This record gives sequence, structure tokens and C-alpha cells, in this order.
Amino acid sequence: MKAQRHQRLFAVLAAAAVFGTACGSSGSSASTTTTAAAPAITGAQQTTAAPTTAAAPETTAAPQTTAAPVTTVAQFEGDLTGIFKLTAGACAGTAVSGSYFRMVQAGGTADGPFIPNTDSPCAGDPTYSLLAPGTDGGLATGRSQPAPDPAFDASGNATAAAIAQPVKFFGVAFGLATDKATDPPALSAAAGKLSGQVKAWTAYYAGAPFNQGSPKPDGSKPGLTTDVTGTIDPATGAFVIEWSSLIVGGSFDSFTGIWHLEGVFQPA
Amino acid sequence: MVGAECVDARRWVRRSLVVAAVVVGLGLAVAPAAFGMFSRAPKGGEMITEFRPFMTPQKVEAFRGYLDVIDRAEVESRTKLRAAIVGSGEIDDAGYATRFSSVAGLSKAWPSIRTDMTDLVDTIDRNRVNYSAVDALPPFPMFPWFFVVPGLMIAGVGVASLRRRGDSRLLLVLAALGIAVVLAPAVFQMFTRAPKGADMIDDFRPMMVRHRVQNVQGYFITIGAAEGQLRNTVVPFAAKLPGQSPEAAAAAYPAVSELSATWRTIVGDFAPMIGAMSDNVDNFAAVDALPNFSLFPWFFVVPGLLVAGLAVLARRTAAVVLGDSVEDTSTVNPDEIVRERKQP
Repeated sequence: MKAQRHQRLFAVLAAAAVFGTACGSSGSSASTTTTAAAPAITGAQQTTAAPTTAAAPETTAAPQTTAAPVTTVAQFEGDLTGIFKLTAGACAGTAVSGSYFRMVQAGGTADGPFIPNTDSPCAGDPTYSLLAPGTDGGLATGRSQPAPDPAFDASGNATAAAIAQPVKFFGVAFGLATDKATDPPALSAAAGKLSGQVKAWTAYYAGAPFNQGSPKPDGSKPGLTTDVTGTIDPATGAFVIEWSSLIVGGSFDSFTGIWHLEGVFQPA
Repeated sequence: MVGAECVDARRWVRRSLVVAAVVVGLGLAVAPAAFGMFSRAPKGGEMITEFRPFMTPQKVEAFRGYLDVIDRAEVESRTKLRAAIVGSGEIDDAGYATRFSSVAGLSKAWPSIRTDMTDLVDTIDRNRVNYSAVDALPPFPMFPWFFVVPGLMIAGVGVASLRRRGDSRLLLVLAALGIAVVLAPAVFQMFTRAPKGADMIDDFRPMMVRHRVQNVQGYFITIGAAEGQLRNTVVPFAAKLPGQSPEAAAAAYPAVSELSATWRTIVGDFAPMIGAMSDNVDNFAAVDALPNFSLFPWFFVVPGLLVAGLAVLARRTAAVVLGDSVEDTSTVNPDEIVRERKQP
């Protein structure tokens, strides 16, 4: 009987351990990122979750997993240096979620008219060009993510893929980078509100770079350019960032890009 | 024998001639500032540089080819593709226009786009020789200094001549400077090149305005949206019609397929051209605000002739004052000789 109880207990513990491990590597980017980020959190961000989660595969996994609820709430406050990992854009009918880009026609307003991107997967509203996380997972703050050299391949598609995967736009892919010549992006949080600058945000398209930052590298905010605004969940780091930026010069001169980034912040 | 009063009068005339030459020199030196050339000329140089990739026969032919590719695709999509889809009964004509609005939009706008873009390419083609002539001129940012440097040299030599009481050697230098200024336009072939620049400015004027550039930007959006819709939606729709397949649809609509296959190349050439036009609207306006290019050679010839003539006249006057040959006075200060002659 005692042996059977031990076997049942062991089975329960093993199942709990497997469950805990599976949760730790689930497809949920939010939970993954938050857990992985924990050891590197500094300053106001305090947690005890990471060591216990890391120990999950061991035989004492079950009690450690249950320790999660007592984790001190992470505080994403002050200067946020790390990566704003993007949640990929998606559409269902005309509803769009995740990260995306839209372009306002010259002379338009923040409400449009928007340029339809017939390469957008959003059949319901092709004015949305969806963004998917790049090789770095998203936008890095405190450092640049410059475009590679050459910035375009033989077909004219942009090669910058660190922030987001190149996005097909009118048959040719644009890429995103934060160029070294300009201040690296800097964002901070105060009571769940995000603010800062992404001056260096640049879209590479059709052989040319288009600054899409806010403010512009010289500090100005021409036309429909707006401040970077957003929110961040102080506990999970889930964020939403938005801004718009007038295109000055080049083939899309006077058009305006609207950027909407969603995801989870991962501290450096 | 020369009377003292007569000598004084001739000396005054000589000084006046040299002063006039100094004034012409100073006028030449300040002309660029008066015309705003210090800010405008570099903008002209920037425009010339940025237009260079598009002012070649190869590029002009490429653009004509792109227009033909788009034209063939538009005709085919309107006459064959649309007809096949509507004829299948899957969708009616109004439904086609609604569902494939970008393609229908291109069909509606293409005649005017084609006309305007053809005019644009023709204008570029027509002005290639003019552009080459302007491009062969010295760099635009140097233009103001072609006035300032000789102008200041003329003024400096003239002032030195006045301070040395009409030193005939300096008057010779002054005359030489004047002749050099006269010859400069010929050396730089400005008499042939500058009028071509004027023709190009006149021809580009209707093209290099903001609303025209924005029209061209709009064409890019219209054509690009239609191409994307043809590639991503319309042809796949046609491929699903009874008896069709992707391969069969591609073969049935070769012009549409050609547009999609060429589109990246078109974007690669089209976008930079729009960018060059857009970025140079202000530069063009700056150049257009300069005096007519055809006048530029004469901005050198007229003051140069004036300076040379005034210097020669001043030198001859100095010789008369001395009552000697011009050659003999070259190393002598005439005022000193006059003073000697006045002594009892």
C-alpha cells in the first residue's frame, strides 16, 4: 500500500514536473518572455520566479512551480533598456491585432486615406501591412539595429531583418532598422505609460532609406508626425507603442507612416 | 608741351577710368550675392547630380519599355482577363470593379497616366543633350566664385594702380584681367552650353512642381496597387475558373505575367526617379530663380570688355599726360614726371 502511495505520489510529482516544464516552454510569447527576462531585471523590477522556474525539471519541481503565485509583481518602470519583442500582426476580417504599419497618402490625415498594400495578407483591409518579429525579436532600446550592407538584395528587397521580418509592400519588401547615425531608441515607462523617442527608426524600401522616426533626427515633428506613446503592463511587460512619422523626401515624400507595435518587453 | 591744367585734367580722367574699372570689378564680385547665387548655385549642382542617373538613353529606353509593359498588361487585363472572369458567370462586371477595385482603378486612370508619364519621359529624352551641356559646365557651387575672384582681382589691381598713381604695368595687368574675363565663357563653352541649360530649365519647369510630382507619386500607387491585385488576387481567381490552372492562367495572360515579373525592376527604377523629382523641386526653383542661363556668358563678356577698355584708355591717357609713348611710361610714375615738369 505504502509503495503504491509512493508510486502515485511520484507519478503526480512527475506529471506536475512535466506540466511545469511544458508551461515554461509554451508558445505564449508573453509568458516565455516574462519568465526568461526575470533574471536580468534590475532596479525596480524584482522577482523570485526565475530560479524556481529554472529548477522545474528537477524532482522537486512541483513545489517550486507552485511558488509562482508568490512572485513579487515585476515593475516595468523608468528607462527600459532591452528589446520590445513584437507580437506578429494578424487579421481576421477587418479586425487587426499585433504589430502593423499603415501609410497615409500625401495630404491625408491620421484617419486616412491609407495606401492599400495589395501584398498585405489582410484581405478585409489591405491598408494594414503586418509586422512579424525579426531575428532580434523586435525593437531594441539603448542600442542601434542598423541595416546590413548591402541594404538591398539583387531583387531590390530590403535585407534589414533584425527588428521585423521584411514586409512585402507593392511587390518589394521593406526592412526596418535603427541607424547608427542617429540616437538609439530610448523608451521609458511611468505608471504604465510609455514615452520616449525612436528617432532612428528607418524603413528601407526600393533602394532608399526613409526615416520614419519620431521625432525626426533633428528633433522636429513635421506634418502628421506624433510623439511616441503607448502603454506597458507593469507586471508582464506587455506593451503597445504607437507613433506616426511624415516621410520627408524621396519617392514617398509627404506620405505618413503609422506604426503600431505590440508585444512584450524583455529587459537587457 | 603739356599745360599743367591739361595734365591735371587728364590725370583726373585717368583716375576716373581706373575708378570705373574698380567699380566694375566690385560689381562683378558682388553680383553672386545680389543674385543669391551662393545658396542657389549649390542647389543647382545638387539637382544636376541627382538627375544624372536618369538622363541616359538607356534609362529613357527602360522607362519607355516599362510604360509599354504596363500598357500591355492593362489592355490584357481589361479585355481578356476581366472578360474571362465576368464571362464565367462567377462575378458580374460591377462585381469585378468592386472586388478588384485597384485593377479597375488602373484601367480608368491609365490613359491619363500613360499620357502624362510619356510626356515626362519625352521631356527627359528631349533634354538629354541640354543636360549634358549643363553637366559639362564647371561645378555649380563654383559659379559664384567665377564672379567673385576675378571681380576682386580687378578691384585690387585697380586700387593698387590708383595708389601708385596709374602705374602703367598695373594698367596692363588690369587690361589682361578684363580680357581673361571676356575669354572665360568661350573657354568654358558657355555660349553654346548656357542656352541649352536655359532650354532645359524652360522645358523642365512644368514638370518640376510639387503637384506634378505628387501626381506621379499617385501613379506609382495606382499602378502598384493594380499590379499587386492582379498578381495576388485576380489571376489566382482566374486560375480557379473551370478548365483553368495557375499555369494555364499565366500562359493565358502573358502581358499580366510579364508585368508581375518585371514589377520589382520597375519599382527599382521608378521609385528613385520619383524621389529625385521630389527631392529637387526646391532645387529646381532655386535654379529657376537665377537669371536666365543664356545671359550668363554676357555677365562675363560685358564687364570684361569694360574693364579691358577702361584699362587701355587709362593707360593711353597716362601716356598722353607724359607726352611719351605708352611703352616708355611702363616703369615710370607719371605724377612724379609731371611734378618734375612743373618745376621752373
